[in-house]
Amino acid sequence: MKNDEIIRIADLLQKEPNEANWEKFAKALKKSGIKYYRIVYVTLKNAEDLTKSYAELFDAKGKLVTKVPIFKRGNGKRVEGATIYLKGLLNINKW
Amino acid sequence: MIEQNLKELEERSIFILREARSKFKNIAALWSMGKDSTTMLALARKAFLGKVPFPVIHIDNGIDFPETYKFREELTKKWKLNLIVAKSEIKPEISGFSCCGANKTEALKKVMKQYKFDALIVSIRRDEHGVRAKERVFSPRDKNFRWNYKDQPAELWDDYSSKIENEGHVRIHPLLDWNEIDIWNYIKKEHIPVNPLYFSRNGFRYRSLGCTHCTVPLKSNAKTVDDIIKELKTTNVEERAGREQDKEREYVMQKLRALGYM
Amino acid sequence: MLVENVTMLGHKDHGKSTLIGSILMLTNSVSNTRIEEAKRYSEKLGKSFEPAFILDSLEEEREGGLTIDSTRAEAKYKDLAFEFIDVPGHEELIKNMMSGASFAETAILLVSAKPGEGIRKQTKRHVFVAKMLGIENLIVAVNKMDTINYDENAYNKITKLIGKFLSNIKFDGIIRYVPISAYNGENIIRRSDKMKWYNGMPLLEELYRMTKGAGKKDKNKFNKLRAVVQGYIEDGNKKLISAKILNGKIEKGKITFFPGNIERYAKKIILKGRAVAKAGEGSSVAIELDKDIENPRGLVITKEGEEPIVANKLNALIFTLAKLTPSSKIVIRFLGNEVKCNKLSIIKHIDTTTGALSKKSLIEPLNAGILDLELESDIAFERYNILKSMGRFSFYIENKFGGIGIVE
Repeated sequence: MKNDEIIRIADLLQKEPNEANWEKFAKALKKSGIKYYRIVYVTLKNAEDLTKSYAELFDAKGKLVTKVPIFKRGNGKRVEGATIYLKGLLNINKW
Repeated sequence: MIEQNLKELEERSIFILREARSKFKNIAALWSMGKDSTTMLALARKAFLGKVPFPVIHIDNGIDFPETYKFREELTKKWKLNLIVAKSEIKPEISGFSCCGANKTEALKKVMKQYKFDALIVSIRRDEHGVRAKERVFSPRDKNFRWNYKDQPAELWDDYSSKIENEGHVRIHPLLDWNEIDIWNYIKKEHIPVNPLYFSRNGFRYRSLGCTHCTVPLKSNAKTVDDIIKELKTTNVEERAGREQDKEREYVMQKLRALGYM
Repeated sequence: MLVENVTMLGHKDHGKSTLIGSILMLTNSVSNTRIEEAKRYSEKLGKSFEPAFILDSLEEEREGGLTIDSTRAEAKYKDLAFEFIDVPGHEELIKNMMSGASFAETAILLVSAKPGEGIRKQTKRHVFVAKMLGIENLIVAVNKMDTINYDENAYNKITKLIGKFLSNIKFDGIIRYVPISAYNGENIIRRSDKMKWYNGMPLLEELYRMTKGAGKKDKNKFNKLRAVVQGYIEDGNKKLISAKILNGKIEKGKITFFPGNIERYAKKIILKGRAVAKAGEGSSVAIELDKDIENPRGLVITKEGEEPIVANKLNALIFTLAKLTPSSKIVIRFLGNEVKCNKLSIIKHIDTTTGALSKKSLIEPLNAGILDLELESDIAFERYNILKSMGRFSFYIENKFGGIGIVE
């Protein structure tokens, strides 16, 4: 199915959100049917808290396809935001 | 909101940008991909024969909107911008905001020092920049009545530049006299590219753009620039201050935080 | 819609905030929500509501940094929008006046009719400076008429005094006197039945007519090309001159730069990215020359044969914040550039509260004077009454803002 690949990589990211996997994700995103995102913040007091938040990804019909983290762990365990990898998607704008 | 003469506003802004370029050795501009700073870049292109001859700095906390990152990429390519991404840390600070606030200012200070910029173009507008305390209610110009720096009262120069204590650089505000509605009128007139987040989808749109954590959308059906202009014209102060009060405050607070003023 | 700036002269205690609040309310320029908030604010302070609280509550909100649109006091009246600009101190006044591009400068001079109050010294100085810098239309609003029972005789006494002061400082613009009570909203937008003896229009109508009439004044139009160079703009390997047109029109052809009498040919005039045949006053242009010029910033551009005044000596009327003596080391800032003054001679001292001239060897702070200045280098300029933008300067004493001057 169209979204198998992106779901696979999303799972990969949940375990290992490093730069290499994010790059894979960005590539696969273009080929997938995902159109929308919604970011869920739990709490955000510092960069580490980013690990508690995530983004839900939806297809053109608004159906939930998968979830991804919104952070990247760089060299030396530094946590950085990674919403840039969702480039190309639109906010679902539904409340 | 009172609409002003776009031609005059444009002339003044072009003059200010050119003065900045002539007077300072190493200038840069803040770019948030928002409507104001993007309009400023469009004005710079008019001032400098189609080019933006200074670097544009994006203070990036890593959790900006994906639409914003896309817009940044596209416009950087289209207008051949010299983009500097200054990464800001998400960490707790006095105001209680971890994402868009003093931490951004810190990142800005770093990059200013690194590149030795001596002046910074900031696209704040007077109609929203009511921040620095001790300013008079109907004071017409920038709040820092500082005369001891390179101010030129013969033109509007000193009204648009301010040296902030201990910062070691001068801030230039080419859009100080513009209203929110003037910006949109100019965007319409000049067909300036705009971040899609401003336009409504599913009954919501964003009026100001901070990051994904602190930005709150507004109820609106404005899907085009024309719609937005119409919305601004018919939305009276009451609506904004009344029912929408909370959203409005949120909007203002975001803006202030984004500017590192809180 | 045109926004007309109106400078508010007068002491804070004479009712400026009340007047503005009143105008905003009467012209429906402030929402009911705002008024409600102002009422709440006044209650919080244990005071009964009055129009001044509209501005005060806005100011408080702004201390918290939570207000939009509160830096302007804008009121719509008929087809005009007025922005009232407060000038609480000398610096604000000068800043405001020096930035004015329009020559239809209008000001409201607010004076209190309350016994014991009356025009203050600082206000008089402000009127002097305002006049010096080009205020041509003045509405003298005699406020707090309620405190003197709207008495016509008392009003006439006050207007006579003010009239005398204005003629002493040689104000020759248009003056209208209006009695008002800002607190009670009397004679602001509607004729007051408490002052039936008054034959003029209410304040806003007088302001409106004055503003409308001002633009049509017959001006002895000086139409020579005057532009000032800002610097260079690179276009590939070409260097274009960036300049602002202060007066007249620029077009392709022979032009001359002053000081220095440097002749060039303007091959191309670019306005906002497009080549144009000509550009007029207020435009910022880029000019392609036949030959480069070194260090062009600050030079004045004219048409061939239309020289400005070029000299390093000039005679100026100045207003100073600090004491000035012949040994004061001053630097003038003119057309965006600094020029040191080598010699300063004081010809006359002018008391800004009375207009009185005297021969003194110094100028007291907050007063004016006629000076002869000898600069370290030539500058190209015009007399202030010919072209304001090229006839005014600010000056600094030891890096501190000292005051302003106009070339006589």
